[in-house]
Amino acid sequence: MSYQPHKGFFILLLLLLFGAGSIGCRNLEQRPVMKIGYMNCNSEAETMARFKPLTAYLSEQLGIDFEVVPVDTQDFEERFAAGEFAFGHSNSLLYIMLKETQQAQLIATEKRGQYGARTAGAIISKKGSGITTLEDLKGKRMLYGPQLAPSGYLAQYDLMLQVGLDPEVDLAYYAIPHGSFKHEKVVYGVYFGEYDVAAAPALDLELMIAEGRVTADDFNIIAQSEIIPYCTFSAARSVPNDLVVKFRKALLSLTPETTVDYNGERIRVLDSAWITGFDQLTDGDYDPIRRMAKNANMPPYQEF
Amino acid sequence: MRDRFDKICLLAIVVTLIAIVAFASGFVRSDKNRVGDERGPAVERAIQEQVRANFLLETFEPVEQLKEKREYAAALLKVQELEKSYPGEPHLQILRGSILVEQGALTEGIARYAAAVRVNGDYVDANSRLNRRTEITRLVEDSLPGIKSSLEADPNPTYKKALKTLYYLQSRLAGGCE
Repeated sequence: MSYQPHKGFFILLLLLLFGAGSIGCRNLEQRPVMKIGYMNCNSEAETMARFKPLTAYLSEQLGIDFEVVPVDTQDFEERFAAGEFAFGHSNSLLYIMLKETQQAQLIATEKRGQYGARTAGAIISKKGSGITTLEDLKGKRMLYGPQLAPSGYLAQYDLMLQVGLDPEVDLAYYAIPHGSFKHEKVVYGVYFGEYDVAAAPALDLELMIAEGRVTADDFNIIAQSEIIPYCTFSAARSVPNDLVVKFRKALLSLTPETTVDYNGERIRVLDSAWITGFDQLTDGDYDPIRRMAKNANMPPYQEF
Repeated sequence: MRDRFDKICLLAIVVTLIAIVAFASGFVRSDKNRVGDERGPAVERAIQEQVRANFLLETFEPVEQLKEKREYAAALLKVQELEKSYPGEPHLQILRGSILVEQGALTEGIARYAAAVRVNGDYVDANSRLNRRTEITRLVEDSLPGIKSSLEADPNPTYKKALKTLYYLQSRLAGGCE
């Protein structure tokens, strides 16, 4: 009795070979991989949680496998210059630094809070403290946000210089809180009376009021800066223009209803990133930050 | 005995009748009063509008005061706080829009004005106490040329949206249909 292979066996074999071949082809057609550097606000873990869904959306829209790179604010310019990531999401002062030193290309500006794609800095004191004008700041204890924060440090430093007050000389003492959630710590520093005045970003005050942690009547707004662009997406000069245009288009077409498949879940992209949308501003819209940085002798115009 | 019993019954009937008549006449009188007080639906509507306008103007007066003192950041924070108590109230959008425009956040401010007018047409109604026609007309007239030329120089979606919104406000001022 000789063994006769069944016809079905050959068909199955052919299917398996075909399947293996198609998998091989797919491997050959791998999508390009690019990196996006995201400036850490509070922690790497928070950055990853906020921006991974947005990055997945951009990958889906552009057909590129984007990877999230969490970056410390102080390291951002150096790592961008070293080509560690082609796209960057940073605060607006960092964008100016990247633009001036690396010829970065402006993509889009993030919208969050009442000012939309813009924000402002404020100097606050506690209601009832008697500190109500910039002149009252002399000899007081002040809390600032981190040094490269446009609306938590630069704007307030500039406001003081504009009226002839030198924060390095005219304050009794000033400090920058450690760790994450620095802007909130700055507000609480005044709220609990540890400091007389603080440099508070308008957005953080707004969020804290919206969440009921403080009220608008708790503070005097001693001074407020002009409005300046908020966090910004930019690209390295080596990124082709058509890719920049596609990237921008993907961001500008985001609506609160836009979702993405991420880790087996359908997630709202903007909600997960704490963003309400994106606007296309011009580089000229960033000129107020340039003026502030020059006045405060801050990067990228710092001179020693 | 029977006579006395009859008299008592008769008295009871008379007392009951008097009570019924008095009770009924009381109802009639109160009905008459009610008729006298009754207002037509137009008056009721006007009163409601008046009450609503008074409420809005009084409740949001602190924001107006801060804005007049040019304390824009404080005014916006007050708006944010009031929004917790009155979410979705278009008057907050009008106030927010006016503050943002004064601060130079033009496209965002225009969007807020339009959002308020979409919900409540009183802001472009010359007969309403909430009327902001002058302010909105000035915004449209002052902003249109700049937005148009910005769009010509840089055809970006932010300006396109702002232009469309300005045309919407212009149409509402003209009384056009949406």
